[in-house]
Amino acid sequence: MSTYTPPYLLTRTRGLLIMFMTLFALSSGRLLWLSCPHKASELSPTPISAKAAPLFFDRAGTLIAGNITTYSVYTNAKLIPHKAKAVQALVQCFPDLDKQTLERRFESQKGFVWIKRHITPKQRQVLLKLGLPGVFLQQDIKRVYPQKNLFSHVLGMTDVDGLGVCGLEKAYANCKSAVRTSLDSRMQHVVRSELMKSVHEFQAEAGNAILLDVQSGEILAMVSLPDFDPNNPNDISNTKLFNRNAMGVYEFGSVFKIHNVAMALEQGTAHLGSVYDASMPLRTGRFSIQDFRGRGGQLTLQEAFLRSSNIANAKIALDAGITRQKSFFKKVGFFDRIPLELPEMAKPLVPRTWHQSTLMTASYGYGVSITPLHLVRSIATIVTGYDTPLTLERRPKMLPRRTVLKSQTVRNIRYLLKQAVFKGHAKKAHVPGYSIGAKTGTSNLLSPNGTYRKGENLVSCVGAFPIHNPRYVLLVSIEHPKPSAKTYGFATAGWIAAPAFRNIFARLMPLLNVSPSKDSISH
Amino acid sequence: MTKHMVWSLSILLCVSLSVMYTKYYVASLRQLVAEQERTCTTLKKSIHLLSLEWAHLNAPERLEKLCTQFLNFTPPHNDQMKGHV
Repeated sequence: MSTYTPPYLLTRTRGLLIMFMTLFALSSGRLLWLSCPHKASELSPTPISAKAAPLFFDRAGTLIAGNITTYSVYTNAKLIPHKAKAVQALVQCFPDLDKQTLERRFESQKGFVWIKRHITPKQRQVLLKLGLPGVFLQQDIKRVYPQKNLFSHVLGMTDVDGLGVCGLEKAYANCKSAVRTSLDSRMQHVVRSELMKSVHEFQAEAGNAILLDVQSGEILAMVSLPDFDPNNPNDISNTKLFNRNAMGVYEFGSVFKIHNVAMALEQGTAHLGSVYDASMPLRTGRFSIQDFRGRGGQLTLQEAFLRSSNIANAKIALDAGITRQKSFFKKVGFFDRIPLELPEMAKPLVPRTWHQSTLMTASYGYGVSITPLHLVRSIATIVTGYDTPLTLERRPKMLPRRTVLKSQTVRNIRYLLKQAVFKGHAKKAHVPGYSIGAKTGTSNLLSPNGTYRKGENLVSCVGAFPIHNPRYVLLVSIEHPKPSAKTYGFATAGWIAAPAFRNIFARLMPLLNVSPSKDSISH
Repeated sequence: MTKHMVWSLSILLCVSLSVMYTKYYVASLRQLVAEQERTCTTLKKSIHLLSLEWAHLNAPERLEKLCTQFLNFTPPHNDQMKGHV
């Protein structure tokens, strides 16, 4: 007997089957989809890291700027039930908070108000124990500089939110996670401490110094005084924040005679034995160029350099001419900003029109204002003959450099610088047992309105070591030093900047692993 | 036909169960990885904090002050340098 299934029953069965199969297929598909890898689900949260400024290291790998995790306190004023009680409790917890300011903030009914940034772990513990409703803690990042003032101007500092506002902090704000600088902590400390001693001893307004490795272009130390502690940004004035090495432009005086003589030797308009009459002042228009130490008579180029004769140097420049001088200054980089990692770099101030008076005054360091970094780079170029690109980043390999000066010019300049230490005005820069060449320069400081500040000098000493094959160049400048009994009433570079230069190099020699030479010519 | 249906359903059930098991296993592994990453981050922060402390304790100014105060050290003079390695 055959079973008879009514047609409507078959249809319903098939329909139900299809429905259940579909449901099952959908569930299976969903399960399969969920098992595939997707973005981090709530079951496995990954930590969210706050944005931090990059770490800075010195050339040896010591941390000089880093970040620590702290907590900051904020409030939602609308959620505080007893404002007076909260204010009282917070003022007890944070005594430096102003009660009235806090009350005003709470009255403002704002949804988000900072109370205090970067509290200590102890303060956090006390706050948690208080359990104030409407007062919350947020994880924060604080910038820390373990060496305090040591690298203040080079590193710069960050604002309260960790954004760089000046220096390398600003330059590398969003770029890298870690930066290894060219600076040496020990050398920076030596330069800073000796410069501070000189500034204090002679009650100077300010001072700056730069130590450069000429072979790699790495800046080993760069100090500008007065400086600041970037850990305490509230105590910083504009004077302290000013980086004299990068932003200050100065007329360096007799130090420019190095450039003047190098220009003449390079262009072939003079040689070491060329003779110049320095017996009478040189007149140009209403100006009269005179020598600081009286009339020199007939001077050879070498004597003109060693005696630092303004008259003879002006004549050397006159023989060379404006075009050659400008060309030489351009060659050593006096017309452009230095491409350096620091965002704040001043451009030299040069006359728009180059008159004969400019030619003559520029020969002994007046009329052209440059930054200390420009000076150091130009001296490095002159004593090596190569273009020296500066850097504040660690540069293990030497970059290919182009030749700028003839080897004969470089040899002659090295000879003259060495002689200046033994027979010239840089005698006090001599470090016994070491082959150093240096030149001093004293110039009047300029006031903002363009006039010279009478009796206020900028004294500088720049030199290279070892002079027969220079590896390091050092510049020391001190602004407005006061004469003293020790200097016999003089406030010139020979009495003030040269001893500072000597003291710095004397302390640096053990760090540079250089022992004194018995064969070195001594006084 | 019923036999086929039963087999199909059974296979589907097995597959679904295995997929579900794999999914939760993977989730637990990811949680483990996240925990390890958190531990690494905490340790890195500790190391970084120690590096900062080390840098502060070895700041040249601080060391010079301590050496002068407790050891009577002064910066070496040139005459004391006789040679180098």
